[in-house]
Amino acid sequence: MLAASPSAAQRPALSRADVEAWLDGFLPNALEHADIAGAVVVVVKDGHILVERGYGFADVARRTPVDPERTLFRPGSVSKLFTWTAVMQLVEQGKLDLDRDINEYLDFTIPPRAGRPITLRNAMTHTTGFEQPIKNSFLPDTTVIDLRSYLTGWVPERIFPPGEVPAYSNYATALAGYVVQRVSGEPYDDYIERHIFATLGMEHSTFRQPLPAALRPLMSNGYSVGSEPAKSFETIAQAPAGSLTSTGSDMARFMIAHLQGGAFGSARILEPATARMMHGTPLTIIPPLSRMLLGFYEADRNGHRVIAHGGDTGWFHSDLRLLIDDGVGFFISMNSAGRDYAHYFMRNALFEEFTDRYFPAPGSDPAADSPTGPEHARAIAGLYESSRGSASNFLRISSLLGPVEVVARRDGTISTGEFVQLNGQPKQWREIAPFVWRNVDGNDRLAAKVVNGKVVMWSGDEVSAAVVFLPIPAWRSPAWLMPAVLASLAILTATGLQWPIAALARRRFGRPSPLAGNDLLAYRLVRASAIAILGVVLAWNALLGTLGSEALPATTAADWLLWILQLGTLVVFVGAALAAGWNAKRVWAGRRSRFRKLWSTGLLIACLAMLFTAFVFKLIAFDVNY
Amino acid sequence: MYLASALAALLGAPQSPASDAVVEGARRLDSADLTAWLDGRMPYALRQGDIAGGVVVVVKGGRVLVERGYGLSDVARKLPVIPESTLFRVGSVSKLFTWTAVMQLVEQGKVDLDRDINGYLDFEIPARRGRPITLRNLMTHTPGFAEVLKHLASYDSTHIFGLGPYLKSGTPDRLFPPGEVTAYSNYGAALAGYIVERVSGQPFADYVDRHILGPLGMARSSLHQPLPAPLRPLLAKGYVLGSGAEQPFEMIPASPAGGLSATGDDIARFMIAHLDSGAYGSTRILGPETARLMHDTPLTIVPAVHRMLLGFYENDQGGHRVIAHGGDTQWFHSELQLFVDDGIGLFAAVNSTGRDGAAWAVLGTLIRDFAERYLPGTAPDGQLDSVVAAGHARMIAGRYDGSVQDANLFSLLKLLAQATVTAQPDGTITVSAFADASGRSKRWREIAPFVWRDVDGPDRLGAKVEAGRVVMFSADETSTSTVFLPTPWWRSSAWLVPGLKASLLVLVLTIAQWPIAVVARRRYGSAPPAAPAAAITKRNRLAALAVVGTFAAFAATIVLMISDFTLLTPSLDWWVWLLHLLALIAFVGGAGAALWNTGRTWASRPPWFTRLWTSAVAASCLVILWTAVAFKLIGFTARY
Repeated sequence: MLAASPSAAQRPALSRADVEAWLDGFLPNALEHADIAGAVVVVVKDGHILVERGYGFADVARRTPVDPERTLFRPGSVSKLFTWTAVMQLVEQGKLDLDRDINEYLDFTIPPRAGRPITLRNAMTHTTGFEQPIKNSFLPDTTVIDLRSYLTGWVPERIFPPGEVPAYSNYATALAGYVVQRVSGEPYDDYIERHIFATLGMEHSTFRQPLPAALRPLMSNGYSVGSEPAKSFETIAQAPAGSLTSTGSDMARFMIAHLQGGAFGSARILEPATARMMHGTPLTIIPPLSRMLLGFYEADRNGHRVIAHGGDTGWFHSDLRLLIDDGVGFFISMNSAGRDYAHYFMRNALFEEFTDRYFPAPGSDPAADSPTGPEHARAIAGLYESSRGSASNFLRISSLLGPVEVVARRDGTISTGEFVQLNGQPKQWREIAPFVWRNVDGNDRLAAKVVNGKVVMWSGDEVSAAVVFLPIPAWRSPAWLMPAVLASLAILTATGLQWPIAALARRRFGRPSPLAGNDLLAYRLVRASAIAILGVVLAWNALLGTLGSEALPATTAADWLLWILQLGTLVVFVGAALAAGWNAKRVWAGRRSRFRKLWSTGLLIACLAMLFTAFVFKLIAFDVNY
Repeated sequence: MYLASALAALLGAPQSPASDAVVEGARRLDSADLTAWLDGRMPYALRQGDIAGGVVVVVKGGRVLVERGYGLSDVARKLPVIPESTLFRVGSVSKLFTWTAVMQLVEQGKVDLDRDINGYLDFEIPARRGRPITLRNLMTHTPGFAEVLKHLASYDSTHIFGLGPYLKSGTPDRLFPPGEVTAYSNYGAALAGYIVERVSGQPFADYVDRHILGPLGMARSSLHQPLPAPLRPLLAKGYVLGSGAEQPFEMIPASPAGGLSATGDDIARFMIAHLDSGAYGSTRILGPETARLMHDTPLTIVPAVHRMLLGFYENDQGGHRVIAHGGDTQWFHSELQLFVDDGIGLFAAVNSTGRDGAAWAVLGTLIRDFAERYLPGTAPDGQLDSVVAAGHARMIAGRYDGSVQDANLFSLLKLLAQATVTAQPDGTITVSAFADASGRSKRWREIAPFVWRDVDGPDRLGAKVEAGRVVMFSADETSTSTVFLPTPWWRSSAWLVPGLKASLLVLVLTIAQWPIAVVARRRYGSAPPAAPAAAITKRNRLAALAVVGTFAAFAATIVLMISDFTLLTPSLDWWVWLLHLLALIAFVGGAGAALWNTGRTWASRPPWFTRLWTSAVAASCLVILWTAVAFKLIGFTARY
């Protein structure tokens, strides 16, 4: 059998003709399948645009094609690179120190955690340890934002000590943008325009929201899927973290400047030494995984150094990657989420295949299986929660409802639903060094940090720059709590159903209830409580399912619902526990069957389990920040 | 919309005028551009679709322009697909070899396309209304046979038997008069292969070896099953999902209809020969006249849509003449397209069905986008008065049966497959059978009287109208194998499907109430009801149980057999017979008992709810009995 892979024979050159034909093969087909309306792709090389292509539509209904030079996209978190570049400009000028207490640059206070303040370096490496604020992040079209009032409106809780746990933070980035504004004395939008856009000639780019009138006609629609109606313009409250609007061609200029050590033609946004510092200062948390640099993600591939940033708004999905030693940059932005998270899989596959075609690995290195594979698989198996989460509010429930599970497989490999292949199957990982695993069908790694033989955090190259996974403490582990909650709900449901059925059957066969007085009252009270708990649970389910959708945006406008639900949970769950206690006492005191005594006890335990869960996951709370 | 989007992007036409990336019209079909384009498209498409591997071959001007292998031919052993040496099962593309063989014999004057085929057979295909079947009917899929599912495929090499015994073991019913209704028939193609065997005096696979594969130098292709030993290690493994288990070799008894295994490189030779009017280099498989006859003799059944030629599908695109054939086994899928006037041929095959049937989307969009990039043209268009269009839309609206039908228990599947044509308020129509890439029904706009076009693409849909009524319709994507015929009211899913659902619900509730009543009565110590009422209730419950049980047994059997072709063999005949017997007893008996109960109940003047429920049970049993008769669950045959 011939063994050579067909592409090994002749290595395609990174030429304009080849890249264009290759992209023409990839993009339209992938977009169509994903139901994504339109996309722009730009490849720069050696200081020039090699290829810029628009695919599909900026406006499906009007059949407006995507124009790489004029169609505006929302690069989302790729915006952060502008904030970080601005910070580095001010560092270069000596106006900012990456390691000083950030409070020295603020006119309000970020409280310390365990006596330790946060620094700009923490913000740039996503290790400030803030929990993730959700409310008021995405606001309706035409909302006017004031950065300071957003930042001071609610300071999210600091849940990790600074510098130790990567936990992606839009809030911290917005804070850095505010520092730029304070220190430079220029409003953030003005600063970026004067010191980056103007210098690079990025004429179709802005952080302003709503869009300046001149740019509005060039704006692409955003879509959930291209076959459904367009969505409205998204206003992003954490503006320095994500409010950029730009074209493919303009992003090419920004990429070229970073690839050329800060220079774009005769202009310059950073000195070479500053650019080098920004691109080459990693913070190692879990070796050997990809790390955070000063604002860029490390994303090396096939032995080539790559620095990168992705970006996602609700509808726009983008990715910027710089092969920093090869002088090549790659940017894609799509104007729809597409079906089944297609935008994410597609952009990753696109860059993987791009680098495999034009910057292939020198040779495959079949790393040997580590002998400790099965043992370490068992050690890491379990339930985890993402470091990028909520702690102080009801959204903490997501760690109960959707924990990240690592499974030890029979063959000694591990898998987790968190990292999935293009074909929809979970990636499989085999250990290649102690607590370092490699994707069986790829090159990315998964690794754990181990203290005293216990896994204290782990992550995978896909996300390790800014997110890690932490063990869920036993006392609130879904491993026992979820079955307990489900069993409680089953008991409560059975109790709720038994009430009317028994009443009907008794009426039909002419048998009145044997209970009277307080016994009957307790019987009725506890059954009404069971139904009330189920009602509250259903209401939470409905809220969690719709909050953040277009029907119920996660803004201040939804606060009243949350107040009702949180207070309702308090009244119902506490009331139910009291009722169940009283009922159990009366049942045990009376001459009732053993089954009834057991059931009343089960009911009490169920009500207490629900109350415990509500308290732990903050479903009972007295403020509405999240 | 996406079609147009891809088209726009590929043609480059709507790009920015400032960008010099703009190319008007076609890209030049050269090896470098095509290779990069395929390399961009195929690996992602296969990975995304969970397809293990595939091959793409393009020939131009009598030579191979590009041949590329993607992914793996064997996942466990990590063997790549190699165009020159990896064999794929090409499924129904095999038929083109059978039809080519038939044309060779026509050329030699040994067979006549228009003679009664019984003249070439050693058994009899009965006439329908006095009209026999001809080879031309077989080549154009108009013999009017019912579908044959038995012996579709097996994995047991001892199970393969000669063409003659296969054909004689179950001659399908003739549902339509010959030459009038397109209804794709594997049995018909196998019959033609058998005629080649009989007339040439050589086993069919040997004939093809000697007269087609040999002359073309297709050394890594064969119709023999199992494959000759030297080729076996070269055959790609078949998969449902590339991430799943490898599947066994499919033995296809109707080998002339689907038994071929071939490499992409070998198929290139076959394409070149057909593009060059039968010649391959200095050898020749058909005379030019014969090739022209084969490529250019369409049979029009439904106007305006793609037709059957003598064995090839007509598949013209954008003004370019295209002749084609697709092929599917359970795991392998392929497409062959010849741009006969441009001298260009495209063959693509994959070895997995992929998730959500990704194989079809991958191949379908590949051939579409290839044509749009390198051989663009204009789609047919036109405009019709909106009042007239709305009238025609109302005329065609309704339920339709596909023409590939079963005369046995499998016809129940076709109840669920009935197509619904709906007149939309904007004058367009939608057809449930035709969906776009995102799964929505395509919309069709009338561009000429009774000719509609996909609003987002070039495909047409045509209807044949007689005496002011639509008697059949089809669309380009199906018209060479299936037409749609109006469903008579008595077998229409419009009322039968909701009727069946309601009936099953009534019967299931009747059964479910049984244990609840028993428990409640025991607990409250109530006496059972009086004798006659109790007997009625019990009879009703038993009838419901028998009817639901039998219906469920049919459904389970059909689903199981259709999802595992190895069950489509005589080994299950005893069970099929038993089911038919059970159906007669349970459906007829159940309906009879329920009707009798209803009569007794009404006579005894019980509460209104009891009367109503008993009547509902009887009605439900009758609906299921009706379905069983109309869809051949009551019928005495194990021929399918």
